[in-house]
Amino acid sequence: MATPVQTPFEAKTQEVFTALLWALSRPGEVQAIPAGDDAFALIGETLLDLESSFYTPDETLRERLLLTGAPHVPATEAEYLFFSVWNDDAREAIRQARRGDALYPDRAATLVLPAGFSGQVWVWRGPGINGEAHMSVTLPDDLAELREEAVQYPLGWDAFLVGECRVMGLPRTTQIEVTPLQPVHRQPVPIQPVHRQEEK
Amino acid sequence: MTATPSTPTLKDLAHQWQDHSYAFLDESSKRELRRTMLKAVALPGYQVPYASREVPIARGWGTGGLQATLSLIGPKDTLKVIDQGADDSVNAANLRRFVSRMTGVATTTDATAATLIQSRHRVPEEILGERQVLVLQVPDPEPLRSVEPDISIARQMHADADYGLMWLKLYEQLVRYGRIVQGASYPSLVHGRYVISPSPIPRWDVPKLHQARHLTILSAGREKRLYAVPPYTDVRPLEFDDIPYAVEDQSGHTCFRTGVTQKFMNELPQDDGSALFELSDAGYGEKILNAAEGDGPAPERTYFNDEGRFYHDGYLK
Repeated sequence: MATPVQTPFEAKTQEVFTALLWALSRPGEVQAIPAGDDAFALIGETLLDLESSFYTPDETLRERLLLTGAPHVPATEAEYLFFSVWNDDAREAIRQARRGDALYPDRAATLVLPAGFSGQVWVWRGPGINGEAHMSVTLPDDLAELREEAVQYPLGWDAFLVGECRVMGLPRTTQIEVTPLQPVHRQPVPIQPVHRQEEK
Repeated sequence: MTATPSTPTLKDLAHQWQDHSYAFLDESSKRELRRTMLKAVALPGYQVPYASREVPIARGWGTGGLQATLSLIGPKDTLKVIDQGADDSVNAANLRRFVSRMTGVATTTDATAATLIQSRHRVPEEILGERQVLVLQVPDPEPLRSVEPDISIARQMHADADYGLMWLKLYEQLVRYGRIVQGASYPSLVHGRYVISPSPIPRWDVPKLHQARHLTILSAGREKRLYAVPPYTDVRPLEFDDIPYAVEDQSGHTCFRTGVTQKFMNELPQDDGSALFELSDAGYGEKILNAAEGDGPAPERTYFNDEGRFYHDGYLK
């Protein structure tokens, strides 16, 4: 019996899935996804089929993702939401995205969002991050606030940040904050003894 | 009609016919498992339901682990399969041969050389690295089953983080037997939120999941649930302030093949009533013996050192 080989489509989805899995397992680390195609469409084709649903305001992307067999549904119901362009409509849709419920927190939405991997420095903490990760990433405007509104662990949505053949995961477990600007000319402060609560 | 490049024939569009899909499962099964795995990673310790597919082994023999492995695996992977520490038992050998026939991936017995490890009831002794995935086969994913047989009520208890009955169960063991007798599947709190059954790994192996470098996926095929412990995630066995969690005492046991101490051992009863001990992690034992003969890489750092100290200081009291 000949050993089965991957079809080109299977090879592509396996590669994209591996990137998505590590993106979510190691938030704050950038993973490569195959070049030469629209990253949003690749992620959609990896995750979507008749058993799932999606929402996107982008018409070209919608046409392509409908070929997976997944129904296009309103943002309030969709399991996967794709926003290749960031605007007020996207913000409004995200406000309505599913957050899961206490019995089934897995019924929350997954967002695929545009981002750039430079710019403001954020500190990320949480599962998948060894201590803390200092991330230079341009998040869509107001995303941190929208996320703050939505995430009440274990409820809330998970996101993939996508830019030019690269993806980074932002699961609901990650805490993000902006690094305070490093003070430049400052007198050294005498060190005070600190009473720490003993860690359990 | 002859085809021009702009009008491809059906033959050009279809891929070559094969006896099986790559990695046995069809794409839609894999997609469902992959969606489930991503959700599981985003919700550490939460049991995500999935539609468990038929695979050519019986339910209860690692179908859950096998489906996770088949959905993860790609041509670049190197696979190791463990059954209760051994690479050569029937279950491990069968699964390994099956996956390798369905994918053609390389296989190994070396835990640190594998990218993907499917295991039944053991975590390797050598520290796993950042790009490794450990898939554990789970017979019973529900830690609350012994205290709450109704799965709907158990789900509600998970939603409420109501784990009082788990503590009571451990307390009752203390009262009745003077110590906690739960040997395997020790209930553990993941990321401070969900209590999991870490599959029937011995108590010795549970700390290895805490702030681990590797990703752990636990999959129960018969029960159709999958959960995960991402890298660098807190995993705390339930313990009382005054009765600390304890791993199996391995002091005084020396592996008769390798001379190694302070690792999880199999006890081999002898005719005269005495017992011999050997390493339960067969791949690790093999590596030590090969390295001693100058034939293979030296074993790497282990979770527990030769004095039995765990590599995260202060985690075990």
